[in-house]
Amino acid sequence: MGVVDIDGVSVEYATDDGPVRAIDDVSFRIEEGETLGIVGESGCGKTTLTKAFLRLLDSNGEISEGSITYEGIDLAAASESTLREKIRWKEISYIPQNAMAALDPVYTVGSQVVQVIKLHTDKSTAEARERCAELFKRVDLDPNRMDDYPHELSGGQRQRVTIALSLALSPSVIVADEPTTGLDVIVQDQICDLLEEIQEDIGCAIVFVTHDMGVVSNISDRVAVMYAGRIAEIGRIEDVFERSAHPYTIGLQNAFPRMEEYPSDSTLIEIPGSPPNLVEPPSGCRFADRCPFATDECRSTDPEPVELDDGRRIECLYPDQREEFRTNGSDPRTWVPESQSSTVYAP
Amino acid sequence: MVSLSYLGKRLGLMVVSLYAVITILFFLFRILPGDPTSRVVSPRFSAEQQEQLMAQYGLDEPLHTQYILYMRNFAVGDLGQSFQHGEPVLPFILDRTINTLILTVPAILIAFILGPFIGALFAWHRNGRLDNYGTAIALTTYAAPIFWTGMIALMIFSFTLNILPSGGMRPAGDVPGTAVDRVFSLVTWQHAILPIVIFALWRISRPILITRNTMIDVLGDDFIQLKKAEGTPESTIRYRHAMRNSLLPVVHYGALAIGYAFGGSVILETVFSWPGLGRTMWDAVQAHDYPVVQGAFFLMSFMVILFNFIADIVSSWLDPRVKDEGVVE
Repeated sequence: MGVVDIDGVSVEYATDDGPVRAIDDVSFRIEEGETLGIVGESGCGKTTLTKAFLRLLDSNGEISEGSITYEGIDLAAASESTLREKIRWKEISYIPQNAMAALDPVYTVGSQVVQVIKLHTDKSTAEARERCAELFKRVDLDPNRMDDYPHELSGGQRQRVTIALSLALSPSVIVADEPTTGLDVIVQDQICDLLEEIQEDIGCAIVFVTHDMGVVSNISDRVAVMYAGRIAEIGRIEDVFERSAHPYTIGLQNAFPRMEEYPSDSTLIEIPGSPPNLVEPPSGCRFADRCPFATDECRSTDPEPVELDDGRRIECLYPDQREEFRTNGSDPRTWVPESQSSTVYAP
Repeated sequence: MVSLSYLGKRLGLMVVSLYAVITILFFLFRILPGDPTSRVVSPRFSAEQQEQLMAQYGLDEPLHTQYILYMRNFAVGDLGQSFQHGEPVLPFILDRTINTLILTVPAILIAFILGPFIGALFAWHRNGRLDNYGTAIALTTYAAPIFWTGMIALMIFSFTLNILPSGGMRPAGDVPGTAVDRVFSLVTWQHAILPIVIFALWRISRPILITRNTMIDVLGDDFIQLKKAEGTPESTIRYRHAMRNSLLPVVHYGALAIGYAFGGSVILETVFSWPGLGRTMWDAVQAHDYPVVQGAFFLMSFMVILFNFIADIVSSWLDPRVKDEGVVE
C-alpha cells in the first residue's frame, strides 16, 4: 500500500488552440519513505504532474480524470479548505523549482518559516522560532541567518531555507521540483546528500522531479520516465537505467553524459525529432515518430502498460524485444532518422 | 529596519537638493523677463526715490552680495515681504498651506490607503466582473477632469439637493480665525467634504491601477505558489504577501502626488473657491507678487523633496533590498 495512490490522472490545459492534455492517464504509487524520481525532457508534463499533485495548477488547467488518494482523501476532488486544513504542508510539502524566487523578498527567511509553523500548530512565536532554529541547524544553516532577508543569502543557502521550510511540520511526502536546477554542481551534490539524510531521519517519501539523469540516479530508489504526458517506464532505478526496456529510456540514457565513460567514449547520441504536439496527439504510441524500432502497428495501436518480472511497468508494444533494443540502441547509427541515413552513410 | 547610514545618505541628498532649488530660484527670478521692482518702484518716482527703494530691497548690491544675503535670509526663514499685502511671505503662505492641507491630506490618505486594497482585490479577481467594471470606473475617474466632476458635484449636492455649501471655507461674512480654529471647526469640514471627495476620487485611480498591475505580475511569482502550497489562507497571501510586494511603486508615486498636491490643487481650489496655496500662487502670479510666487515655489519644491525622502525611508522598510542596492532588481 503506497502513501499516495495516483490512479488514471489526466490534466488538461485550456489554450487558444484547444485543450492540451499535458498529462494523459497516468497511474503510479508513492511508497512510504521512498524517493521516487520523475525524469523527462522539458514539456513532458513532469512539472504539471507535481502541480496537479499539490493542486497548484494554473487557472486554465484542471485534473480532468482520475484520482490522487492520500489516506482516504482524494486530493483531486478535495475542497480547498480540506486541503488547507489536512493536507497542505502537514502531510505534503513542496520544495520549489527556483529557490531564488521562492521566498517572499520582503520578509526575513526565519519569519517565513515561523509563519508556516504558527499557521498549522498552536506554537507561540518563541516556540516557532526555536523550531525554526532547529530546522536551520538540520539543514546546516547558521540559525543567526534567520533574521536575514532572502537577498542576503546565496542560492545554495536559499535552497537550504526552502528545504528547512518543507520540513517544518515533518510531512509524509515532500515534492521537490527540480530543487538542484540553477545551482552549481558542488552545491547540487550537497543538497542531494542533505535530502537523503533528512529522508532517513524523518522517513518521509520524496518525489524528486528533474531532467538531470545523473542527479536522479544518485538519489532515487525508483524512477518514472515521462514522455509526452505519459509514463514510458517506471521501476527500480537499477532496472530502469541499467536494463532499460523502453526505447525512449534507452535514447534518454544515450543523450546523457556518463562520468565513468569520460573521456574514452563520450559521444552523446541525440534522439531525432521533438516531442509530439499535445493538442492533437498522434494515434498509437506517442514515441513512435522518434523511435528507431517503431513498426506500423506502433503508429496505430495504443500501447497498454505491461508489467515485467522485476516489477517494472513499461508502455511499449514489444516488451519482449527489450534486449535487442538495448543492444541496437547503443549504436549511434540506429538513431539516425531514415530520411537522413542515406545521405550520411552513402559513399 | 532602516539603517542609520542609509538615513544619513538620504538626508544629505535632501539638503543638497534643497540648496540647489533655492539657488535656482534666486537666478530664476533675476533672469525672468520684466523687472521685479516695476511693481513697487513706480517710474513716476524721482531717480533718488527709485534708488532709495532699490537699496531698501537690496537690489543695488552686486549679484554675489545679493546671493549671500538671499541665502542668509532663507536660512533664517525670511522669504521677504509680499508686494501685494505687505506681509512677510513665510507666515502668509504657511497660513494658506494649512488651508490646502485640510483638503489634500484627507483626500490623499483616503486615496493611498484605500487604493492599494481595492487594486489588490481587482488583481486577485483578474478579468472577473469586479475587475472589469472596477478598472473601467477607475480609468473614468482618472480621466475625468476635476473642474468637471467638481462642478457636477456642486450642482447635485449644493444647488439641487442643497445639503452642502457651494464653496469657500466658511459662510460669507464669517471672520477667519487662527489656523488651529479653522482646522478644528465643524464648519470648515462641512465646506471641505465635497472637494475632499472629488480630489480623493481623482487621486485614488492611480494607486488602484498601479497596485493592480504590479500585483498581477507578483501573483505569478514562485513564492506566491509556495505560500499556496503551505496552506496559507487566501487573504494572507493576497494582502500580506502579494499586496505588500506591490506597494513600492505606489509609495513612490504617492510621494510625488503628495508633493504636487500642494500646488496641483489650483483647479480644485478655484472650483470650490478655497483660499489655499494653489489659489494664492495663482493670484500672486497674476499680480506679479514675486516674493509670494518665489515662496510658494520654494514650499512646493520643499514638499516634493521632503516626501521623496519619506518615500525612500518607507521603501527601504517595505522592501529590504532597497537600502542595500539602492534599486530593486
